[in-house]
Amino acid sequence: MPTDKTVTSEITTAIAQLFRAYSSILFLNNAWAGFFIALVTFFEVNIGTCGLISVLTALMIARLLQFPKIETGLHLLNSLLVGLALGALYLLSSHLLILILIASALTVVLSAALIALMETDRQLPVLSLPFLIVITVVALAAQQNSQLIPMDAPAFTALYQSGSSIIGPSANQFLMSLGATFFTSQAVAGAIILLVIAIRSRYLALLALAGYLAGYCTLWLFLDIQNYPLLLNWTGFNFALVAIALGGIYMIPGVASFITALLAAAFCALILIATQKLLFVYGLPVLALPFVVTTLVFLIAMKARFSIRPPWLAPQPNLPEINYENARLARVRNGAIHSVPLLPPFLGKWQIYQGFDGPHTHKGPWRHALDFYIKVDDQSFQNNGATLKDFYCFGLPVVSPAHGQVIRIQNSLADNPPGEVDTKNNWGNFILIRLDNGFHLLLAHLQNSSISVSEGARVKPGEKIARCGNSGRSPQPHLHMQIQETSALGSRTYPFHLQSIVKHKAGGLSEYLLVNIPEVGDCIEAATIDDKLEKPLHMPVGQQLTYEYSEQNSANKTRHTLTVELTLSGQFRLVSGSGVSGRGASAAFVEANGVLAFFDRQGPKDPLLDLWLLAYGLTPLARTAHQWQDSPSAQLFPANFIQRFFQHCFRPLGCGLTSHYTRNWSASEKQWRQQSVHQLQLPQLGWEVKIESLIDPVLGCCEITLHDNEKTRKAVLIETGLSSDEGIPSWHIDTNPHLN
Amino acid sequence: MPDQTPDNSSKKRWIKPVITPLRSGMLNKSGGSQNLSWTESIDGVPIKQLVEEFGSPLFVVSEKKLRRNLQRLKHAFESRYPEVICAWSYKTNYLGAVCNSFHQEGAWAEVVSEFEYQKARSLGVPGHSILFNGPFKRPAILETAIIEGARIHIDHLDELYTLEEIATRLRRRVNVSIRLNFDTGFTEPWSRFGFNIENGQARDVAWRIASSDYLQLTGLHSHIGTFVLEPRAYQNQVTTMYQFLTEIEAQTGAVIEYIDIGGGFASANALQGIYLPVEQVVPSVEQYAEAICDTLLELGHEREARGLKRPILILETGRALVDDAESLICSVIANKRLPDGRRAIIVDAGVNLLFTAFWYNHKVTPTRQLEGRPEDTVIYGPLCMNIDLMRNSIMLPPVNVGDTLIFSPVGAYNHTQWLQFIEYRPNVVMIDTHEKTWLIRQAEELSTITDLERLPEHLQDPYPQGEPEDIFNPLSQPD
Repeated sequence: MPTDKTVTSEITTAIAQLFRAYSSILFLNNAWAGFFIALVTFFEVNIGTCGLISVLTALMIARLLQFPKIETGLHLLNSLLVGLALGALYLLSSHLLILILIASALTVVLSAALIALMETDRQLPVLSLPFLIVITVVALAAQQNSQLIPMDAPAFTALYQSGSSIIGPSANQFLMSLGATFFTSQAVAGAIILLVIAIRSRYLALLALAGYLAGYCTLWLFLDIQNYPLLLNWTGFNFALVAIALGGIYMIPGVASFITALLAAAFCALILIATQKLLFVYGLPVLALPFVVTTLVFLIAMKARFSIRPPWLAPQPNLPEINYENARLARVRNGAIHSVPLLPPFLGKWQIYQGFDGPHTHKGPWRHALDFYIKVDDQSFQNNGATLKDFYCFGLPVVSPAHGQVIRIQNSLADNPPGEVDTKNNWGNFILIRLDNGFHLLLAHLQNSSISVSEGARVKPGEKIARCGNSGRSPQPHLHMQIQETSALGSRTYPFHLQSIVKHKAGGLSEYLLVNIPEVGDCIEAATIDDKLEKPLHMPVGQQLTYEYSEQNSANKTRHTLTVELTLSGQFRLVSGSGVSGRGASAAFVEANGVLAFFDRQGPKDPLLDLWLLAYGLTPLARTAHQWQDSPSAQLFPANFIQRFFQHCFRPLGCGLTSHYTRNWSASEKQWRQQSVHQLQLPQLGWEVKIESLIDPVLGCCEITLHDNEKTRKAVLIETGLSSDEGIPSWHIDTNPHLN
Repeated sequence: MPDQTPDNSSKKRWIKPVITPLRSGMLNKSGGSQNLSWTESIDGVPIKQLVEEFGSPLFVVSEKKLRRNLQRLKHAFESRYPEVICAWSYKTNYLGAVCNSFHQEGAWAEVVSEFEYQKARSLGVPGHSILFNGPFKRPAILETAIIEGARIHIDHLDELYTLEEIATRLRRRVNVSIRLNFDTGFTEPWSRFGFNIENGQARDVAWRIASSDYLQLTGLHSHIGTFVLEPRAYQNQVTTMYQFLTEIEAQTGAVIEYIDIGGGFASANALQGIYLPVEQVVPSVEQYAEAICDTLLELGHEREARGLKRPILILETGRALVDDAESLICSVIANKRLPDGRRAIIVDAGVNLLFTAFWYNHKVTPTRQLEGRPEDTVIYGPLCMNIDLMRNSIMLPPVNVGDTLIFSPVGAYNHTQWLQFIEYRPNVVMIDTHEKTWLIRQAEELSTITDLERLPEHLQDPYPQGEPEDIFNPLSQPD
């Protein structure tokens, strides 16, 4: 028997879902935004009422039939549009009510069908396609019916132009056409909608305007707009929606995606002219058809594209600010989008003989390739270099830089004497590996008979597979590595980068780099994971870290607990608070390839979690990593009001911090001291904070201190433990340093 | 070019005449003088200048070569195996400047006695970077080593008991290693050290440690010999050690973090009794590295597949790192003709300084172009002792008194085994990477030796009853 509480929460969820349907027409997906948009629809009471009836019907049917992906709200959205459209065409009557009920039900079913067809199989959004199909069917059917009472001024055909002018005729027209998204031709309605969009995302508002202008200009070029005054009012929103969807929601914001969005808006204008010509014959309105067609066409085309050049599709449709931040962080930490990450294919320190776009052979289709060799005192050989054995890298092990399957090998070619090349067998002895991400990896110029894996074998990173040699077009022993698009030997190369390396510089300095494309002369080494760092910083599910947090300005100390949780989708999250899922602020983290990395900070303000995330945002677990850089989200910065304001003005899409980390073993304290400086990326202002944290070899992070100009924040570990599970009792250790 | 200053005098240089019987050996192509090359400087510093400034005999260490040797060793292994640690074997040469040159290149310290442990600590090596080997560790130093976190390699059961006692008393968990001995098939088994694998003793000890509350077995150590000329010996060594590792991990639940394969790599020095040239007999560090790392990598695959880390490889190389980084300059003090007709020369450095002359035929290099016919020559040291033989036989042209000769390589074991027998031990200098010379061990003087002596009260004076008379010249009294 449901309790009152569950009933209340059910109702709240349903209401939120309902309003989200309103907002998701504009891709906002927010209940409050939806609430205001719902109000806008009631500018024309008839339309608003029909819409509400329709969406309520859909809500009930969708819940009753339990179609998959109900939570996306697509079923509701399309039903809402059907209701709104019918409300714009006919006065509410009993006949219309029945029609709305039937049409809503039909839309829900059709949505479910199209979702199964398009989204599940092809990852294509359904958009308002179900609405368009249903409204076409219903409108054609309704034309035969005499019982329905058409609106005094049927919105799509009449020549009236109401609504007060807000700014000027052109701006007015933009706002009116924006209002037409919800079938009201009121400039005020459009203004409210624009405001709602702008509150959620300034970038989307900008896209809406720019897209509208692009479409308008195209229309103006090909159509005598004076003859079609209402066409723009009623269909202009298509341009704005196309720009919003492509430029902001489905693609990662940037110059390239912005231009693509404008291009799409222009394309949309042409489709608009064509469809209105075709549909006019049947007395059908154009509605959102140009938007749906354009968006789908562009998305399908973009999905077929896989390149490291922008524009890129976002991995998940999301608000542009979120897409931008995710993409920014991914670029900083994982290298260029779509670039293939590889580990060094050797052990120890090697140098780069030839980099990308090298002067010798890394040109044209083979520009993305690295040649490795070893130099000591500027010489690649010892003694006199007369024999291959004199060369430092000759005969050294070659290890697999990734997971994959060996698909072709050549093992029988002789090694050239130093200085000679074999141009007949360009690649010499080679291993071609099909990587698990579909690309092909070529390791070439290997030593004769040195390949220790056979065709078909699976290889994993670090596994010894051959030796460095001097076969093929190789005047001196070196190792050639490239990523190819196809399995054909020497086919077009594709960009890649090395991950988790240590770059050695003159004077014994070394820098840890998570992502790097080394250049000629660089001396690099794979970073090896250190147990002494890996163990204390390893965070198993259920781990609880309790800190005593204090700010200098206030004397009171508060206790905060950070708990490690595992989400349904398999994501580890560090959650602030007492471990009630989804309540406290949280951030996701991964521990892979010897790096601990936090991302996706969600939830309310939480100074302790932010402090932790700044201190450990990106922590390599290699002993040799003494300094490195990162660029975590600027949201983590303990900014005051002025700083926050500047940040919003100069970096509307959000930005990263410039963070420098250093870490050293402190012999006196027997702890690692990890220090970082985080700078807001605002020129000239130099706003920064310094964080220092101590890593105990047993307890992990035991102290974090933040210094900025104004105050000091400090968190001290006072308890560490593990929350209980069925059959596993919880435990806690008091680590309070004040007690000792 | 014998001299820097051109000889403008009309006089010809005096070359000693030599009368030699015709010996058949001289006719074959390998006979005669093998090595007539000479050198005037070490690392860019003229030998003449060195001798003028620091005297003769003189040990000269090349910092460049020390660093280069360690870099080469590290590189040879690190480019073949993921994690390698080199520990400098103190007993080979524990001059502070030598040790610190290696430490600056990232080497740990491998010590075998209380003195060496204290020396490493006094140089500033942290306890956790010290490997403590050897059959004799006093309880006091063991306790210090435990507190300072050194890696202790247990040699015998009594040491294990002492260690456990101390750990229990300190209530401290101690990570220990055991030294193993076994037959590699190539080297003479050094069965006096550590625990034997073949007879099951080593396994028993592993069990014994596993049952201890305070000791934890985390490493395996073995040292198969010295001047090992056969890389395959190491192949067998790591294979045996790995098998043992797998066995005890499965049986006792221990997790072994490292395998320490000791030292023993040969240096480019000619052992007496081996007649092939050094270049042909002594493997390069790369050859050792290949044999060891290939085997270890192969063996580690299965372990890695189980999600465990590969054990760290620890090397305790001594001789191969230091030997060729040091030379001994000495001067000819006399020429002689032996009754058997061979020529002999006496130099001012003997086996007191060059202990390794007992088993090596060191390379002897003149410091000017020697003219005249080479002759089979014996080189004696200055000691008043029959066995003071520096080279039994070397083809050398005639040399003059005052000429300097260089003995090399002499870096290994001489400073740790040299004798203060009737002579002062001379200066040791180091030429740094910028060709600057530093005195790294001052020559001994009388007080160096006498300062440690204590004369009992009644023995203060050799002649308490008054100085004895000069019985040969009773009249010659001091004025």
